[in-house]
Amino acid sequence: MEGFKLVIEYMPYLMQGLMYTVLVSICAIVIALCVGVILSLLRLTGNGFIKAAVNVYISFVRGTPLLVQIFIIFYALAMIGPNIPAFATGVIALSLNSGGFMAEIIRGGLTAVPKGQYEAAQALGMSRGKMLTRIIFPQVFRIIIPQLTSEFINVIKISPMLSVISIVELTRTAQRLYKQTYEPIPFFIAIAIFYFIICALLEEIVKRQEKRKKILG
Amino acid sequence: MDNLGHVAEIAVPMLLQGLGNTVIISLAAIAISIVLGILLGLMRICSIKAFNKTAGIYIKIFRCTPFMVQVYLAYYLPPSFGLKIPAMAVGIGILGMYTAAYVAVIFESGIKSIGKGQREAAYAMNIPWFKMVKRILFPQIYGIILPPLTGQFLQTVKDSSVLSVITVAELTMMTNKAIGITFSPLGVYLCAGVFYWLLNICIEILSKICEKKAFKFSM
Repeated sequence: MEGFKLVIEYMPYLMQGLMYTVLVSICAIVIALCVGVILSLLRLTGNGFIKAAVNVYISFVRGTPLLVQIFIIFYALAMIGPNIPAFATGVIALSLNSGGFMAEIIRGGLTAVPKGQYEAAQALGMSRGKMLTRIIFPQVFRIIIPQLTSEFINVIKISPMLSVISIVELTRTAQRLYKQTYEPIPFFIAIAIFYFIICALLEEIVKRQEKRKKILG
Repeated sequence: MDNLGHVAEIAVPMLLQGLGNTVIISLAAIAISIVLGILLGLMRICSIKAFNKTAGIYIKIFRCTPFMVQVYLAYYLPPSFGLKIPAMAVGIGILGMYTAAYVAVIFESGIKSIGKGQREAAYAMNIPWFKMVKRILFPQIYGIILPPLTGQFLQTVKDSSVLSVITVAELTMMTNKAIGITFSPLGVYLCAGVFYWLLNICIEILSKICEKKAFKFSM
């Protein structure tokens, strides 16, 4: 009961942290989508060297922990310029990581588009760029919408790791409040509930999208 | 160049020590998660409602909260009940429990992919439930669930890095320590990244070998 009162007392701070988490995640997912599209476009070019580079990038992003990636980006950005805001660092770290996963999702979508569509576009004399922007990608995005939402859930779930480079999102807020009040349990339970609500809601949305996709075919 | 050699001389032994701990933690957590995951998966398909619901709630809670928050809670909860558990044990336990939720889902979908008819046929032939699971379900789903299971275990190795926040001396924690001595963060972190990468590539190769064997049996 004591803990509950504490949480209520410090609720404005927690809400601020929650806002920050949501904001970082939304920015990260949007940029990650761009990164993913760029990576998959680069993979579609015939150049073997570019393809290999993209594959190494994706393999590295998927094969190393986000925590290590965050530290690498944090220190790399610090070498470039000392005054990069924490928010930007967090968004860059999350989106570069998520972009690698996004590229794989888009590849899945690309293989799901029937081959006849490519051939028909070619038969009509469309240029390659036009074919991709007008025929292929609109279909790909419709196919991958559920996976995109899942990836958004994932980004929210990995965003607490940004707390290690002192970005004051929800988890960092809880840590700070713990250090102020010496009461870790209520705050961590409270933020666990926050995360749970967001992720459970989004998961419900994913389920609906998948059902709709099945009906539409 | 001379400086780089000096940094490597200090950092690499520390990183290797951390890598050893990461391997131990991951293996222990994977072992726990397989046992617990199979148990939860079986609870999900069994006809007793209470088991079914409990497993469902467990899976939902562990899948819908960030792993880092779970780690903090696991670290701070026992002391408030007067229990003292070493950080390493807490880390292995929570990593195993977290992975188990994902293993359970993979396992459940594997069982569902073979269809209810097989289970009903086994029931009709009066084969005991345990024997049915062992002799009829497991051999069929082994090949199906191996690829997603590998993906999950790669994730487990990566997630073990989060345990550094509760002072478990695994690779990321040792990296931080090495940086405290050498003051060259970027290089040492890149080195740690390469170590994780190599570890994951090893697991992938291992699973490819297992997959080949599994398909040889199922064909």
